[in-house]
Amino acid sequence: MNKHTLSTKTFLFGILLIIYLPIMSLVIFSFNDSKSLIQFTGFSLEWYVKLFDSSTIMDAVFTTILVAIISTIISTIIGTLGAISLSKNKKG
Amino acid sequence: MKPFVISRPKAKSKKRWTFEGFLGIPYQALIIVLIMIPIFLMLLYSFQSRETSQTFTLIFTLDNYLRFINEPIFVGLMAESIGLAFVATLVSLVIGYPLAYIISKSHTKTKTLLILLITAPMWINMLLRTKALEQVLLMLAPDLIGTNLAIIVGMTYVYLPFMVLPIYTVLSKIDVSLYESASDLGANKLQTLIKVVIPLSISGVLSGIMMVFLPSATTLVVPKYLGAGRFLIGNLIENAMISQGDFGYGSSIALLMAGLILVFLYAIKKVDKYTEGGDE
Repeated sequence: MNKHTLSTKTFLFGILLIIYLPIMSLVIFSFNDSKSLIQFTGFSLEWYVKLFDSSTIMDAVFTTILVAIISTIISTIIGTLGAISLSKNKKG
Repeated sequence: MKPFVISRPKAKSKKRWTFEGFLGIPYQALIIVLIMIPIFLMLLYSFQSRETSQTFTLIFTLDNYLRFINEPIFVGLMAESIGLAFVATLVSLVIGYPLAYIISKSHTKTKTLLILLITAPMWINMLLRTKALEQVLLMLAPDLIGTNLAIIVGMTYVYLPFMVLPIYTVLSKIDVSLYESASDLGANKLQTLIKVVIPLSISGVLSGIMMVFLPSATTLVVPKYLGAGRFLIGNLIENAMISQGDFGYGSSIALLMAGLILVFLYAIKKVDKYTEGGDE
């Protein structure tokens, strides 16, 4: 039940490769020292320095996290209650 | 007549005011305020004549709906969007079903890891993922950008997890003893798959199809980047609503899409009911 044959392993690996190829390229080019997303001109942390230096971006990050946490809490509570009432109503 | 009329709503309200009914109130209030009222406003917009869009007076017009028929570009875009979304859904299903099947057959630890790997990309902004895919295509096959193939690849790439997850959920619920009894009764692996596994997982397949087809048909981002700025129905709505401020036209397109989707959902429910009745 749990032994994967070579072909299923290849399939899994291939799909995961396709899924992660663009993401890997994002990661790699985030260390690029020029703005190009096609040619890697050299390693640098320039963009990360810019990111953490910019108070606008950091403020936006904190606001995003705060909003996401609050809305997750609210929607979990309301959604759970709604799901409970819907499932009970259906039976009745 | 009279007692009949009175007794019916009474029976209904008795059922409503249970404890569970109270629990659902915030949920229902949310649905009304955030979904029903906006849809109602869209309906009003879609019948609103353009000349009066600045004021609150309502002048009834069918102009926005007549534009569907009068502008051939619209019908073409609609057919194109639905066609591309259909192919993308099919490709997602062909890739997603085996993927979900393999994952559901793995060790518990591998399972968790694989599901994590499949869902993790969803944590990254969709815009960014599409842009990243565009970069990869530009590096590997620059001629592809702007073709139908690129758009289909993009839709499949972005929405594949939505196909895998519901199918995986249904497959992992199938009792292991069903596989055993199928082989006890002389079915080989292929027969088990066709006669036992696939019929039992139809509901997952159907919700996967919905979760991939609907957003694919109305995607904004994929045709913009992978289609080299091509227009599909989602872009048409965006253009009408945001660039031109033509809320009436945008709303009428959106409502037409919603209507088509409802028909689609109804058809799927029919199929679903049939299979659910089968295994009960």
